[in-house]
Amino acid sequence: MEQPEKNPTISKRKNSLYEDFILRLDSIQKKITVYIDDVSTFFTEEIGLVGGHIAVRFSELFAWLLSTDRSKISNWPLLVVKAVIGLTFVFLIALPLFVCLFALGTFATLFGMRNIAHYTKKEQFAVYAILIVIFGMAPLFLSEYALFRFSLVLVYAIGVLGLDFLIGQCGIVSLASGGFLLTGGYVMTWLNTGMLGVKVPLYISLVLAAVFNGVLGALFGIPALRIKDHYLVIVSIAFTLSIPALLRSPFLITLSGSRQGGLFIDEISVPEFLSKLPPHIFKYFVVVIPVLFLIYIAYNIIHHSQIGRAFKSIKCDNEVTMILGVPVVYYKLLAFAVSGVYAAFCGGFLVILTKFISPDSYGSSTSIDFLIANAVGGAGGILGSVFGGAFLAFEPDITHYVADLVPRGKDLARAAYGIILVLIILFAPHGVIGDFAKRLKIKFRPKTRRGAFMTSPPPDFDYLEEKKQYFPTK
Amino acid sequence: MSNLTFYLSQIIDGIAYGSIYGIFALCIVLLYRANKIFNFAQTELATLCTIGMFFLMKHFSFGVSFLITLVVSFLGGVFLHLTVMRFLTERKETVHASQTMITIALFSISSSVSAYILGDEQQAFPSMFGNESFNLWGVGISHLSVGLLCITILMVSIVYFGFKYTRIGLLLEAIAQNTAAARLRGIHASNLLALAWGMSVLMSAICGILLAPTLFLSPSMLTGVFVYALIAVVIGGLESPLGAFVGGIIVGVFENLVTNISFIGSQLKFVSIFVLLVFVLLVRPRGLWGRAEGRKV
Repeated sequence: MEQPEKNPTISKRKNSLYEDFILRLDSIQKKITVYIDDVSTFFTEEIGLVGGHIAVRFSELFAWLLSTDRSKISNWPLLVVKAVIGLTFVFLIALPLFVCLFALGTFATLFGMRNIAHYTKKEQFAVYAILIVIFGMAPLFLSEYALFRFSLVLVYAIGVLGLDFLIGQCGIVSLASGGFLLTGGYVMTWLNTGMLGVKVPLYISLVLAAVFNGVLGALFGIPALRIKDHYLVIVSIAFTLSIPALLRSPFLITLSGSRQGGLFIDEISVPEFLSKLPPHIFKYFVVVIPVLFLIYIAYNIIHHSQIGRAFKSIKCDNEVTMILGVPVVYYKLLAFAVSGVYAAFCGGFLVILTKFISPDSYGSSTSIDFLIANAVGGAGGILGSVFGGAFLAFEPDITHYVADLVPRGKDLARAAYGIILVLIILFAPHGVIGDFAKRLKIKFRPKTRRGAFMTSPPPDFDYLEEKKQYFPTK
Repeated sequence: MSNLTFYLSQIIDGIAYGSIYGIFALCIVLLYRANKIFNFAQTELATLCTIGMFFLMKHFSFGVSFLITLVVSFLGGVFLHLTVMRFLTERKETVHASQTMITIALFSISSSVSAYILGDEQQAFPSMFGNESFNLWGVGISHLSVGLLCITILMVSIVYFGFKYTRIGLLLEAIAQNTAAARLRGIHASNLLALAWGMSVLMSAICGILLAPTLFLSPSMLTGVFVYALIAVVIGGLESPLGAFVGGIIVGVFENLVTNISFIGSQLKFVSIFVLLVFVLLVRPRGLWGRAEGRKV
């Protein structure tokens, strides 16, 4: 009697080693998703029960207080009471978020505050290996949507990093990033879809958009050499607002597609030799690998180069830098150009991720969001920018989720955003990442590389003690 | 209508709009002179105050609710300073931990709160000057725009002479230049700054109430005005009340005249204003009325 085949996978296993590998990965992924499901149900059902109960009671109370019946609202004392309660509620939303941010900041501080520049070569290698493993393995554990979010965090991070080249490195406050995002995204879309007559592959179009934006950034930098401080902020916000106006003008209206609402680009097609890979995972790698490479380049520019040192010198004192013979004009224009290049990549990758661009996609609110993200994460470092990117990607979700508890609470979500910013400015002026070393009095001593530490001393660095170490006195 | 009359009416329209921009620019200048704060939230605070008055008017007459709004807005400004801004006046400034950043936060808070209170629809708002208009050289001019211009000029002169000739103005100037030194001379900086904040919010409340009849009351009533006011104040110079007023008029007239050029139209209006702004600031980096600051090492 012939035995029936127990498991169809067994026969497949004989077919090829490759498919076997894929199947094993599948089973691991399933196991892990089941495990994550278990943990999340535990959290929602056991712990969430009490919290959820309280939340439901509260939301009922607020729904009663903030009744949406507009005809009865003419009663003004009630309106005042409602406004006060609404503000309190927003405060209640913002406060736990703020606490969460601080907890996350502590976590990041403990693991990342010691700047990678202070690590030894071996440690650096270990850090990169861990990062590569984390980012390479992420598609195994995360769902399609979570993967999208994950790449969104990194893409926002390079946008904030581009702004940080101006704010954190050179000390120039600019709100032009929304405009640069728009130009970069549009140039990339035009080249990639062949609207300008030539159809260019994806990465080449991205690089060309970056070149275009770099030139545009340097051009924007020329007036910025003369215009300073608040004046520059206004000029940059006017620049950001004039880009959508330009795109909607009769000259560009057909190209920008603002008549039909915007431009769509096609989903990235998976090449033949990788056809086994699901498209969303392929897209994740298409976005994440260059983004990580860009972050690596930015890290090298900031911590290991003449350019980074010049930027920091300009931030400390413009005039002294000039006297020391550093070509300030050149470096300032370079900062604007680099910022433009990073904004172009951010815009281009956002277009790839969302498959859509219109003149309303990014604008002055994007600029302000990036500025806030930079403030929240902390200026002057890669980790702060990545944290700012995470803040940008997840904050709207959280505030909207909590604001949904109140009738018409959608309007109040933006207020929670503002309150977070106020709390950050009052209690963590160097950003969530930057302040925790100070609060917890964490001190990291650089181990070996003196040159590296010269570029960026840790926040609470004790110069005298360092001197003693190198010149011991008896 | 002859060509001349057409352009005259355009210019008069422009002056009417320009005084709107100028009046907000003036509020920004007041705070900037007092403590080097660039207030991004000025227009949104004005909207919030106007919405408050809209609800008060369901129970009181126009005059009473106007007075209540003024008092409440003044107290609101003082409250704002005492609760939040006070902690930042003497802190060593990092890029982000500045009062200007707080005003950006305030912008989003006040705009969302006013959207929450009022909802999306537009509301009619009674005018202080009536809805009539009169005829001047064949150009119709409404009473409202004349009243607006008069009140703007009144406010400009109050702020200008207040900073120039009164003791409080002098003290505020001292605080703006060096807060710590002013404190050592016995000036109570916090109280004076609270006064400046109160005055600034009160003035913007007046502007909001004046503008509500023409723009119709809605949460996004002043978002269009906001950027033009910022550009006006920068063109005029951040430290000069007169400059703010003239900058507002320049922007208003330029905007109205440029729209008639067929090449530019209403689409590229904003781009041309941006070009004007860059051009003016390239010639005079601190605005038309601004004083050049010496560099120090």
